[in-house]
Order: sequence, then C-alpha cells, then structure tokens
Amino acid sequence: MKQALAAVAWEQMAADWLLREAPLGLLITDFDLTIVAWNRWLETRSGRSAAEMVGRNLLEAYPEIVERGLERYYRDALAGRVQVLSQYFHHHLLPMPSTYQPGPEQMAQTAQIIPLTQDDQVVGTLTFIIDVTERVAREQMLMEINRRLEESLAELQAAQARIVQQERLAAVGQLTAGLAHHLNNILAGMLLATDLLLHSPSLPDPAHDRLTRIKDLGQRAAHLVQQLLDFSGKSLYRLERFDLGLLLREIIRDLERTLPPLIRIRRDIEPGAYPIRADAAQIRRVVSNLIDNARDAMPEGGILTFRLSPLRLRPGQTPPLPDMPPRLWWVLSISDTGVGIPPEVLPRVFEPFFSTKGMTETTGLGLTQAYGIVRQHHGHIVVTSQVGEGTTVTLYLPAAQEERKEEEKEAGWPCGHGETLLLVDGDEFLLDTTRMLLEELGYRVLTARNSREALTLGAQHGEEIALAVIDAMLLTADGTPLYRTLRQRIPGLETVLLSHFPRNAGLDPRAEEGVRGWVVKPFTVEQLAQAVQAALPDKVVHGEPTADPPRQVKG
Amino acid sequence: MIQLSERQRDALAEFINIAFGRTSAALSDLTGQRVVLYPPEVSVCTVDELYGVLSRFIHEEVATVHQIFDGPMAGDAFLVLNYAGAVELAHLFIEGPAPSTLLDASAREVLTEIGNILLNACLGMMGNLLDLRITFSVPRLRLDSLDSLLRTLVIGRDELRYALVVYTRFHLRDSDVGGYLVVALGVNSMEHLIQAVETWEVGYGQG
Repeated sequence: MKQALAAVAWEQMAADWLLREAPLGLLITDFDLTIVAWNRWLETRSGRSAAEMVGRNLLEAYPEIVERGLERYYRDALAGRVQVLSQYFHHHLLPMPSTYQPGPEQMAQTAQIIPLTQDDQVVGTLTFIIDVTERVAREQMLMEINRRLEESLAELQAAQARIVQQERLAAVGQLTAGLAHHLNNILAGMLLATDLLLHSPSLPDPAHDRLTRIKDLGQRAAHLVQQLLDFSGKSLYRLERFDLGLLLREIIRDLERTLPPLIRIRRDIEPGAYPIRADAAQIRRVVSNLIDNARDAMPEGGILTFRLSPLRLRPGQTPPLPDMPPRLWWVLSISDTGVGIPPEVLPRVFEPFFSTKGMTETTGLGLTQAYGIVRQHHGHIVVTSQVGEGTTVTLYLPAAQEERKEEEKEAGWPCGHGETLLLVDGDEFLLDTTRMLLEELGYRVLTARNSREALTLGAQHGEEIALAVIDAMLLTADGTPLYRTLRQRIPGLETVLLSHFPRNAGLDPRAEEGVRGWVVKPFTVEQLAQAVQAALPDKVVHGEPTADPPRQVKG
Repeated sequence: MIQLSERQRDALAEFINIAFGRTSAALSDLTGQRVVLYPPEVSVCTVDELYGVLSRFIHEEVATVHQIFDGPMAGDAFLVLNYAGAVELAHLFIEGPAPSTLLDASAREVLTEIGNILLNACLGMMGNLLDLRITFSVPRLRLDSLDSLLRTLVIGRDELRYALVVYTRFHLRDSDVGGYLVVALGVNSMEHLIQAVETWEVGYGQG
C-alpha cells in the first residue's frame, strides 16, 4: 500500500511537471471532448488560461476544428485509434500566433491525438501539439540553399563540359590548319596546271571535258579547305563596320523567296542599330550555314525563328557563358522546330565532318565553319536542342562599340550640320532605318516611300533639299527614273543612288548628270555617311553634328 | 506451419482491399489528389522467413512506419518502403520544389501520417472483424537496415510468430511506389485471423 501510494504520488508529480513545464502543448479531454487539462505551454502560446479552458468543450472553444474537418481525427481517436497530424497536410491543429521571428504569423504544428483508455474503454483523448514553425522555416531555407547549390553544380558541370569541348576543338583546329595549309598549296598547283591545260588550243574535246571536271572537283576541294581554314581560325578576314540587323533582315528577305512553303519564318528583332565590326561575308556565311541546317532539320516543314537583341553585360553580372567579358553583345539566335539533336551528340556538333545527316561530301562542316568564324570574331556560339522539338543556335557577337551612338560619332564618320535630305526607298523598313541613321549623323531627313510622295515633297520643300538619296530602281509614272524627274523639277538637285547592283546593264549612273554618289545595298553606316558627305556640294565636315539651321543650297 | 489455401489468400486479399479502399479515400481527401492503392498481393510466412520474402524487393536501407498494437490480439504492424521509394512517395504527396534525395523532418511526418492512416484502416478492420478492442501505440518512422528492423521482431519473443505480408503500390500523380504492409502476430492470433476472414468472406460474398 505504501509502495502503491508512492507510485501514484510519483505519477502525480510527473503529471504536474508535464502540465507546468513540458515544451509542447498537452491537452486532455474526456469522452465528450470537454477539456480537463490545458497545460502552461498552451496557456502562454494560445493566450487562453487553463481556468478559462478547463470545462469547455474543445470544438466549441475552437470552432475552426469543425470548420476544417479535423473533428474526425478526434472521432477516430475516441474509437481507439491513434491519430497523427503532420504539419504539411494540416499546418496546425489549434490556431496560435507564432513566436518565431522572422517567420509566419501563425504557428506551424504537428499533433498526435491519443485515445485514453480505462478497462479497455476509451474515456478521453490526450493531444500533443509541437511547434515546428522554426524547423519548417529552416527546412525551406535549406531547400532553397540546396536548389541554388544544385544550380551552381549544374553550371559548373556545363562549364567543365564547354572547356573540354573547346580544348578538343582547339586541338582539332590546329591539326586542321596544318592539313588545310598543305592541301591548299597542292590544290593551287593542280588548279593552275589544269587552267593552263584548258587554255591549250590543241586540247582535244574529250580531254577538255575531263579537265573541266577535274577543275570543278578541285574547286570543290578548295571550298572544303576554305571551310576548314575558317574553323581553324586561320582565314584572312576583311573587317568592316556594318549593321548586323540590316544584314539579318536582308538575309531573311532573300530567304523568303527561296524557302520551301512548308517552312514559315518568324522574326523577333528588337528595334535599334546593331553596329558590328566583322567580315560581313563571313557572318553571312555563318547565318547561311545555320539556315541550311535548320532547313534540313525540318523536311516536313516547321517554323524558322530569327531573334536579335542586345545584351549589355555589366561588371559583376553573371554572363550567359562563363568567358564572356562585360560589354555590349548582340545576341542572334536561329531556331527550328525540327527533329532536334540527341544529347549524346550535342557536345560534338562543332567537330569537323561530324554530322547527324549522314556522311556526304556536302555535310558536316556547317557548324564547324560557323564555330571557327564566330570564335575568330571573339564571339561565342551555343547550340541547345530537344529531340522532337527543335534546335536553337545562339551567337553572341561583340558590338562594335560600347556606346553605339556616341562612339559612332567618335569613330569619325562624316556628319551633317542639319542639311535637309530627301530620302526615297520602297522598302519601309530600310527607309526608316536609313532615316534614323542619317538623323543620328546630323541631317534633317524628309522621307518618301514612292515616286509620287517624293515628287510631292520635292514640290513642297524643293528649296530646302540639299541632297536626294534615292533607290535607283524607282521610276515615275512615265517610266523615267525618279532621280532624273526630280532633277528636272528641282534644278541643280544632286543625288546619291541606292541599289542592289553596282552597275546597271553597263550603265554607270555616276556618269549621269546630278548623280554624285552610288551606294550598294546592303551598305555600312560608314559607306552611306561618306557617300552623302562627299555628295553634298560645298563642304565635308567630320565630328559632332550641330543644331545649325538647314543649309540653303538653292537660291 | 500455416499454409494459406487459395480461398484463404483471396479472402485475405479482399479483406485488405477494403481497408485499402478506405485508405485511398482518406489520402485522396487529405491531398486533393486521386490516390489509388493497387489490389494487394497477400502471403503468410514465419517471421524468420520474412527477411527472405522482403529482401527479394528491398535490398537497401528501409523506411518503416511501425505501430505496435496490444490487447487480446497483439503484434507489430509496419508499412515498409525502401529508402528511395520512401523519398519518392513523400515527394509525390508533397507538392513543391524538386525532390531531394533525403527525407527531411516534414517528409518524415508526412510518411508517418500516411502509414498511420493505412495501418489504422487495416488494424481497425481486423479488430472489428474479430470483435476485439485493439489499442495502438503512437506510430514511429524508422530508418534502418532490413536486417536490424526484422531483428526487433524476434527479440524477447518466445512464441512462434507469423507475418501477414501484403504487397501493394501507391499510385498518384502518374507515378507508382511499391511497398509492403506487414502484420506480425503470434501463431494463434494469425490462425484466428485467417479463420475469421474466411468466414467473413463467405458472408461478404453472399451479402
């Protein structure tokens, strides 16, 4: 009896301690869910005292339990089954403010509801409530850190793969350059000897035909060697300043005429100038190779998308590729919706003669050549692809100058002094771009899209117009070239002609009266600026444009 | 030695399947996702044979929700998943960021609640069938090797014990995760249970 009493006393002491000191919520109800114990932890966290809560029905004191459908856990506990309520599924059992700062306003809880039995009968419930707010916040933080780590790891692995790829390509490039150099010498000798033989008057016809075939094959071999030289970065380049946007638009325009009808073109070119210092022919070759690949990837048709936009990388900013220094870049991408490239093939697409199209003599060097040319222009090229969805090739090319507008002027292009120019071109885009360019150079520009508008402007502003810049192909209603008609209407008007052709059926328009210049499309800023400045009758000015009033050239 | 007849096996599978139906409904209700537990495959073996049965499918560390039950019918009930399966199951239930390969405390609580719902449904039905009041311990999630998990079933137990082994798969969000429900009982309780389920099946089939 003494021992039994002692045991009860110990149990009572333990129960008292738990109700006073336990670092978790302890709530005891009878079978009717009337609260019979409400510990200190619950008092301090809920703001409701034991005196207030004991004797109250739990579901009436916390109607939210019923509203959230949680009373069934109590029902099941009263049927004898232990209930576990995880924080993730329920967030909390009893609404209480959180004490964890900084953190959410409401406490996150896990809970267990345990049936209390006496003589095998459930007589009530015991609920444990644990505050897990801080733990959940830390888990979320850890998850975020983990996500960032995984991202960094993926970036690191991608960078490693790129370095390995670049090193392999550099080694192949070195080998290729040596080989191409020797082959070039041999081919040069062969082609020269073939030419000499072909010009021999005593050559019989069958021999002539065979030699012509040999020469064709030799030229094709020379073309291949040229592609290899481009890849190895040993080609000779002719750097000039031009606008990448204009070049791209021109390529797209030509492409629209030749592309199979099943392939649709989309363009997403951010407005603005894209000055670049590069070999225009080589850049055109890169784009052309990429278009060929895209076309081959879409035998059933699809969408060919061109995107061009600026990317200003500032110091400290994470570049899209690790070895891109901070500066202004032009981002040109060409996407197809074709068959895509398998991931195991992707790392090798720049290698010479590595082709997914089957090994033929005309394939396998397009991306290789593009890689070499882009790298030699200090640019970057990236291929991304999803099998069955398509491929995107992205070029990052360094802009010609950091500050386009200011530095174009610093580059010493001849600028105007507010002279009025009449600009006429049937291509609205070109008209607009050329107008902006001339205005940047310091001219005042009147624009006309056709001969009628040009003649109207001529009648209105004839005396102000210092120079006309006209598409050579524009004719007036009677078939006379527009520049001649304008010259007749505005005596003494000088003209610079714009055309796709440097010569027109043997006619040199510069010999025509009033034609002071000739600019071949696509032209560079430099070419146009020089042609306009040279054509202006009196002076050539270099430097900053001024706000001088328009020069009156006609009396 | 208990050997299940075809009829007993079918009766047990049918019985457990009803408990699984209740579990699926409770889990679907809880998650707002359609949760399905595939019809179970049932077998009975001695606890000593359990390692051989489970190790055919579970080779590595296991995640187990363990609940001891007591009363006229006493024993151990487990939801046994291999560790990778437990991670996958937790992340199928937890919507959110990309699954990690570790079970954090929240994921463990989620698994515990899922196991609790499943074990409650099965043991509750068994108690009702046998008209026995069974009391449950609080469920615990254990991360252990299969070997050490099974050792706890034999320590301090002299009687011959049998295990009802139920294989099933949880299906949600277009994915499946397989796992075992194991109920370890003394030989008399097991024989009593099998007999009661067989009788129940006759009544259930007629009803």
